[in-house]
Amino acid sequence: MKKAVLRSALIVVVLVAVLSAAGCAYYVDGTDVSGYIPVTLTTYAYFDCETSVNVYVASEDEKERLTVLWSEKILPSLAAAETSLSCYSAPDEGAVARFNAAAPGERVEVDVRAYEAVKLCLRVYAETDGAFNPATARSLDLWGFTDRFLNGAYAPSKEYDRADPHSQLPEQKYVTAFAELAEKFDGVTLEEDGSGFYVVKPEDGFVTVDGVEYTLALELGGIGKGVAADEVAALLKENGFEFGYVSVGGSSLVMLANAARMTSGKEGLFDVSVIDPYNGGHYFRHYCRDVAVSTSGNYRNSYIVGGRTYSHIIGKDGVPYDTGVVTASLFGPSAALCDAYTTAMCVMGMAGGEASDFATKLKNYRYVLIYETNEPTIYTNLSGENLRGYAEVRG
Amino acid sequence: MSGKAFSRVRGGKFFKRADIIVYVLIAVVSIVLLLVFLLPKEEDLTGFEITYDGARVLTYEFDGGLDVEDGYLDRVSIEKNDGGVYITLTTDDGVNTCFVDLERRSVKMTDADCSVSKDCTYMPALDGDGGAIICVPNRIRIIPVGGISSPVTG
Repeated sequence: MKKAVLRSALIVVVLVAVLSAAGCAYYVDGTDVSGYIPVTLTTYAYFDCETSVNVYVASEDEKERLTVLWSEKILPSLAAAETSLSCYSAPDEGAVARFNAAAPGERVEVDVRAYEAVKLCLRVYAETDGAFNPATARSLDLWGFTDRFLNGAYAPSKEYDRADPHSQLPEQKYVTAFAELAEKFDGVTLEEDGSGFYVVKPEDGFVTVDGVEYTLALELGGIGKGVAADEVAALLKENGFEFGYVSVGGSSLVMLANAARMTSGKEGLFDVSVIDPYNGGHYFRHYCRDVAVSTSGNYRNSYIVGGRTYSHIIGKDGVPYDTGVVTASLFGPSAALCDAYTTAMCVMGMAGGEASDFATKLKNYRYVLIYETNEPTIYTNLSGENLRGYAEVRG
Repeated sequence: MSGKAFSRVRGGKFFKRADIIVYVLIAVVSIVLLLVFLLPKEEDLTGFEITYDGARVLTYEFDGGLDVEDGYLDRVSIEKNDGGVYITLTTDDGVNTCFVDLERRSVKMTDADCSVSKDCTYMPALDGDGGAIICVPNRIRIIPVGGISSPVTG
């Protein structure tokens, strides 16, 4: 009798274990996430793109708390970041716009966000030997990539303007002058005292073309979205939201953990897909969490003249880059740095493996890029799936 | 239980062949259930939602059809053609049309009056492989139903 009872008890124990394992509870990092609710909040008000937070919350109360955080902290943070970093803000409101309007040698008071952003730009400018350069605002306007060309109301108004700036290339004297102007970015200095933060425009921060003076001007589009993504992700984490991700325009993302994936060995990982510039699908997929991602390339915000692509990323020679790097993505700790580094990688190119060599040396960063010579080729040191069957070189 | 049967049980081995078969079956069922519930699922798209400025406009379930939110009933039109359904949404920001491929269980933006470049019409079809279709100027978003969309960078 005793053995029969023992056998029955064993069977019951095993059944209970099976039922428990088969779906009663899901754990990520020790947290039961089986009842988590997916919430997506979006705004189109900042950085000319869609910003979204995609978060898993534990309850309806948490959902309400997220909504309050969104309206009271996240949206104001995005608004402040855009005002501060955009060159299109009014100079009396935005720090970068104020710097751009300043005369050579002028000391410009800025907010701490802009101060840190310029500091980061100076660092990456030095690290990349000038391949990343935010002082290309004049060149971007020359080549037709500023707001006035994109809002549908363009009319020639400046000395270098053409009737159709996306089919008529600019005069070389402006290209050369503005490239020379951008090189003066390393003369920008930062000052900080008890009363505030300052960015100083170099005394020689200007060029003259046909009697018209153009002063050094910044365009922080290369890192602005990354700065915003980092800030929003920090707000989520500070407020206890651990599962989800932030996307600013798709080019800058910060991944937390994924509550919808519980697989052993893949707990909390998101599957991040990278857009294929050739057909709009996805060419690469990488599983990751707790990491920032940025992508730069020449397949968006660009035009073609004479078979050559002119994009919004300006090379050291003052001309939109044409190095064969069609798209470059970087996974690492900071979205702002990923933004700056991927921009630099596009400019560096791959003729001698410069971009991949540079990215390989970055501690805690992994890259994937497409380099086009005769055929698209993926270069990467990232584990992931090649979704299109392109030729592949693993670093 | 009769005295004979009781003696058979009492005098028998602790685990008989039948017991082991039961345990093996339970183990197999256990593993199958674990795989079903815990492995990531690369499934077909079950449906999608279209949002305008963050608010849901409609939900389309491949096995359930179209459900339009109140306030948008006169702004959504459908046309069955090409083996699927064209859904056109008119908002204060513009007009977007997407094509629902019923055979492939996917949805793609096919037309929009958003900008000259119409970036959204070049975004990949939503087919259960992750991602979202976004039209920034018209503030339109197409995402899989029942979850957050997988992150896409580019």
